[in-house]
Amino acid sequence: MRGRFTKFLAVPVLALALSACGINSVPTAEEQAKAKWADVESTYQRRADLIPNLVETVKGFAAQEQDTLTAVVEARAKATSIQVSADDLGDASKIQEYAAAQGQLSQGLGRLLATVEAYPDLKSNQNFLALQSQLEGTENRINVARRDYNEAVRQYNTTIRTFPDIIGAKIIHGAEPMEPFAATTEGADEAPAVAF
Amino acid sequence: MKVNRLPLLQSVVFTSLLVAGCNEATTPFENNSAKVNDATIQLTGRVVDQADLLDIQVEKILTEKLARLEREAGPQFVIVTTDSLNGLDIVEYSVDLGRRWAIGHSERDDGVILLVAPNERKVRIAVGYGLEGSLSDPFCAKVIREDILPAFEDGKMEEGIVSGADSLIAKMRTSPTIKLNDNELPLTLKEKQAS
Repeated sequence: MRGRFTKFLAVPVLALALSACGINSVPTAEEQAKAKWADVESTYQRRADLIPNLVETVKGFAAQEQDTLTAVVEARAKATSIQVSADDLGDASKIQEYAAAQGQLSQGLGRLLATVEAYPDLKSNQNFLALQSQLEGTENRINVARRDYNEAVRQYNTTIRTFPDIIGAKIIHGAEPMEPFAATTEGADEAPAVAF
Repeated sequence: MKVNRLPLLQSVVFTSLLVAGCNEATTPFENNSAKVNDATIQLTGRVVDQADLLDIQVEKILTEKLARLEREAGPQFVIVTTDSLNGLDIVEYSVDLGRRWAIGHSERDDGVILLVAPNERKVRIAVGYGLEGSLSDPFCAKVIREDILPAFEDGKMEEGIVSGADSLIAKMRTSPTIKLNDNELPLTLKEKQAS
C-alpha cells in the first residue's frame, strides 16, 4: 500500500520539483526583459523619427543656429547606427555604447530647444509646437520604457540567482545575467527642457 | 444606480504617453522603486477629487459624462486631482496610477487620466497606447495650453478641468474604440452585481 502511494506521488513530486527549478520561470523572465528592451529601442526610434522634421522647422526660423542643428543631425545619425540585439543584453559595453549615443542626442536636443527661446516666432509656430509636444511625449515614453526594462532585468537577474530557479538557470538554460540601462552622460536622463 | 467603482479590468499595458503642460525635468530612473502610495489616493469613482477642486454638483455631471463616454465610445477616462505627488515626477505618478488602477480596457488599452496637482502646479494627460490615434501628443498639449492653463492661471481650477475634459471627450467621441452596442456595459454591471 505504502509502495503504491510512493509511486503515485513520484510523478507530481517530480513535476513540481522540475517546475520549481527554473524550467519555465527563467525563459519567461528572459523573454519579458527582451520584450521590454524592444520597447526601449522602439521609443528611441520614435524620437529619432521626429528629428528631421524638427530640424527643418527650426532651420526655417533660426538658420544661424547651424552648429547646433548640425550637432543634432550628427548625433542622430550616430545614435540610429547603434543597435543592441536581444541576445546582447548581457553585454555591458554594448548597452553602454547605446546609452551614450542616445545620451549625446538628448544633450544635442536639449541645446537645440534652449536656443529656440531666442526666436518668439518659432516658439509660437503651430508646427513647432506640435513637434515639441511629440518630442516631449516621446521622452516620457522613453523614460517609462527604460524603467520597465530595468525592472524586467532586475527580476530576471534575481530569478537566475535565487534558489531553486538557479538550478535550471545554470544547468539547463545556461542563463547569463542581463545589464540594466544606465544613462552614462551627464543630463542624459533629462527630457529636453521645454518651457510653455 | 451610481457607479461607485470602475470595472477593474485586468492589468493594462498602460504606457503613458503624454505631456505635462508645464514641463518638468524627468525623474532619474534610479527612483524607479518609488510608487504612488496605496494609502494616499484611492480609486473612488470616475472623478477622484482628492485636492477638492470641484463642486459636488460639477463632479456629478462630470462623472455622468465620463460614464456615457465609456458606454457609447469605449474609452475609460478618469479625472484625478491630488494634494501631493509624493515627491514623484508627474509622469511617473500618472503612469503608476494608470497601471495600478488598470484604467482602460486591457486589450484596447484605451484608458486616459487627466491628473491635476494644484500644489505642485502640474497638469498631465496620460494616454493609453490604444488612444494615441485620437489623443495625440500635439492634441493633448493643445488642450492643456488652450483649454486648461488659461483658466488655471486665473485661479479657476474647476473651469479649467471641465473645459479640458470636454475637449478630450469630444475628441474621443470622434473615434470610438468600440462598435456601438458592443461594449463593456455588461461587464460593468456584472462587476457591480458581484460587489
